[in-house]
Amino acid sequence: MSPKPNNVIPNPGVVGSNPAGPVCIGIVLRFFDRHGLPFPRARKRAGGGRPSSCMMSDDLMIRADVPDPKVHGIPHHQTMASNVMGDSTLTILLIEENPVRAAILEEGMRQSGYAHVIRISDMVNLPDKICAADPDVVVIGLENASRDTLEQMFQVSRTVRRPIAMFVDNDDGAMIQAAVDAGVSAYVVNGLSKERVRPIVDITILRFHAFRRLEEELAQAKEALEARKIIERAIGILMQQQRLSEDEAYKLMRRTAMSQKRKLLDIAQSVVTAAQLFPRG
Amino acid sequence: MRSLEPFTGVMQPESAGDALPTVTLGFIPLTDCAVLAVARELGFAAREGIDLRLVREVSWANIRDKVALGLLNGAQMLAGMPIATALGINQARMHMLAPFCLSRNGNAISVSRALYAELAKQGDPSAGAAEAGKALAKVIDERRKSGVPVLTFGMVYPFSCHNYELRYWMAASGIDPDGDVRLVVIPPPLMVDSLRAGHVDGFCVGEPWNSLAVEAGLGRIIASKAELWRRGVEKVLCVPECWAEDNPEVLAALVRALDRAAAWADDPENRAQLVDLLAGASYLDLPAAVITRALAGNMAVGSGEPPRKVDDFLILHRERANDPSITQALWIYAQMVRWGQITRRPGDETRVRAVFRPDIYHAALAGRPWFSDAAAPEPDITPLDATVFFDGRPFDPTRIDAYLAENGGSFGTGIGGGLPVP
Repeated sequence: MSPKPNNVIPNPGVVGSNPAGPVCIGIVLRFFDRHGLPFPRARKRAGGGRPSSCMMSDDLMIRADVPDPKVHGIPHHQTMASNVMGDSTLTILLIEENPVRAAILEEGMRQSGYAHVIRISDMVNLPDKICAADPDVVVIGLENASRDTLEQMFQVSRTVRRPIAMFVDNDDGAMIQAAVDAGVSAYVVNGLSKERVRPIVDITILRFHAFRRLEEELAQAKEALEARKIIERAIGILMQQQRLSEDEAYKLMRRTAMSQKRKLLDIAQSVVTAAQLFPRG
Repeated sequence: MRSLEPFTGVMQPESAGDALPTVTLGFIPLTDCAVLAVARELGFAAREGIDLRLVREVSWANIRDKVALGLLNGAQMLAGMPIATALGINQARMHMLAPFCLSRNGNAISVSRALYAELAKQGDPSAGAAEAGKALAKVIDERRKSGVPVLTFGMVYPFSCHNYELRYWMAASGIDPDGDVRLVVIPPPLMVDSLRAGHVDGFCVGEPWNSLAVEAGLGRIIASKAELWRRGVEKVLCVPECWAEDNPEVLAALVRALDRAAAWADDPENRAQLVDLLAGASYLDLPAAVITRALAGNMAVGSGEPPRKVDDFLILHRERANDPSITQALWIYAQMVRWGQITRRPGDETRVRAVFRPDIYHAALAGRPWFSDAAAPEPDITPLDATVFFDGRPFDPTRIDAYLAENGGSFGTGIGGGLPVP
C-alpha cells in the first residue's frame, strides 16, 4: 500500500513542483533552538534541503483579527495559549481547500512562532503530498472529505510516521468540544505530548472562528448592498412614475413603512414588484 | 451539522401525544443510504414513534468521530468499521453494535478507458470479473517488463468492503494488491475527478459514482460486488453499545421502522418515487437518471454500450438482506488479518462475533404479521456457500486459521505482520 518512492514529490517547498496539481507553499523562517542558536531545520530533514521560499499568494495578505474571547465564548486559556511562542521544531501540515481560511490559519501559526507550516490546498493526489511533508501535526477541517484519505496513510504507510486522531484517548473534553464546534480536527504523530499539541489546536480553533466571522461579515455586507440596490430602484420608480424628487420618494417610502409597521426594504420591494406587474410605458 | 428539511411525508404517527424520542443518525450521500432516507421521509420512523433526524456527512472518519463523541446516536457505516473499532484498529476504540444491515452488494469496479483498452488487448474484460482479472494480471506483467509505473486503484476507506473486494478479486486473479498495484483511499465525490486527472487507473466505489464515471465518458465498469461476493454485506446501521443498552425500546422501534422502509425501498413499484427522493438536494443531489441504474440493476457499463442487466446489483431488503450475518462479519475479519491490518490474536474472534447483532434484529421484529418464516433466524454460524464468491472458493468461519493458511500465505507481503494496535 505504501506509495512508491518514485512517486513522491521530492520537494514540497518548491512552488510549481507538481505541474498537474496545486502548489504547496512551504515557509521556512529562521528560528532558534532551546539554546538560542540558529537552527536550520531543513538540514535535519531526510531528503536534503528545503528551499527558503517565502512566496505568498495574494490571499495571504488578508488579515484576520483574533476574535474577542468574550464575544466568541472561547475559554480564556485558549487565547492565552496562542500567545505562547510556538514550538519551532514541529512541522505542521495544513490541509485546507478554502484559500482564505488557509491563509488565516497559516498566518496564525506564523504569528505564534510555528515556523514550519506546510499547506496543501488541493486534495487530488493527497497521499504523495502528505508523504513529502512528513508532518508532526496535521490540521484539517472536520468537514473535509479527505480525512478518510489521510487516515488510510496513517493506517498502512511506512513512509509516514503514524499520527492518530486528536479525538482518540483525549481526556480534555472542553478542548474537543471547542474543536468540534469550530469544525476542526487534527492528527498528531504518536507520542507527541499533549502540551506541545494543545497550543496548535487552540490557534486553529481561534482562526476557524475568525474565518467564520469574516464569512458572516461578508454575507451581511452583501445583503446590505442588495438591500440598497432595491431601495434605489424603488426610489427611481417613484421618481419616474409619481414625479417625485429623490428625497420625496425616499420620505414617502419611509413614512409608509412606519405607518404600516414594515421594513423600508419590504416597502421598496413591493414598489419594485408592483412596477414589474404593472409596467407603464 | 446540516439538518434536513422537516418531514412532510404521507403518513401520520400511530399515536399522537408526547414528543417523540429523537434519533439522530449520520449518513453518506450514496445510493445505499436509501433505507434511512425512506424511513424518515415516508414516515416509517414516525409511525414507530421516532423522530428520525438525518445528518449528511462527508467522510467515514467524521461519522466515526461524531458517533464516538455522542454527537450522533448512530449512523450508516461500512460493514468493516464497527469490526475495526471493536478490535481497536480504527482510531477510536469503542463498542458499537450493528443490529440491521442497510444494504447488500451495490459496489462496482471501474477502470479508465485507457486501462480498459490495455485490458482488451490481453483478454476480454467485458466477460465478467474472472476474465477481467486475468486480463489485468497480464497487463501488470507487461507493464512490469517495460518498466511502466504501477497502476493505482482507488477505494473508499481502509476498513471498507471496497478495499477487501478489490483485494480479493486481485489476489484471486494472481495479482498482489500490496506489491503489483497501489491502493489509495479517495472520497467517492473525488473519484471521477481522480480518474480524469490520471491519478487513479481504476477504483472500487459504491453507486452512483461508477455510473457517473461512465456518464462522463471516463470509466468502464468491469465487475460488480453482486458478482464478486454475492449478497455480501455493505452498509450497516451502527449504534454505540451503551446507547443500545440505555434505549432498547427506541432501538427496537428503529429496527422495525428500517425494516418497513427497506421493504418499501426494495419494491420496484416505488422505484420512481425513491429515485426522486434520493436525487433531492437533502440527499445525493445528483441526476435521477444515474441513480436509478443501481436500484434497477440496469447498468450502463461503458459509454456507447447497451445497458446490462446485473441481477441483484443492489439489495435493500429481499432474501433476508437486513438480517446481519455473523458469518459475513467473520469473513471481513479474516480479510483484515489476511491483508495485515491486524495480527491474529486470541479473543478477537469473540469480539467480532459480538458486533453484528441478529438477535436484536429478530427480537425487534418477532410477532410482526409481515415477519414471516422466510425470515426465520439463520443459525448463528453457517459457512457461506462456496458459490457466493466469484472464484468459488469457500469460507468456513469455524476454520479461519485454515482459510488464512490457504489464502494468506502467498500474498500480503506489503504490510505483513499486522499493525501495532494503539
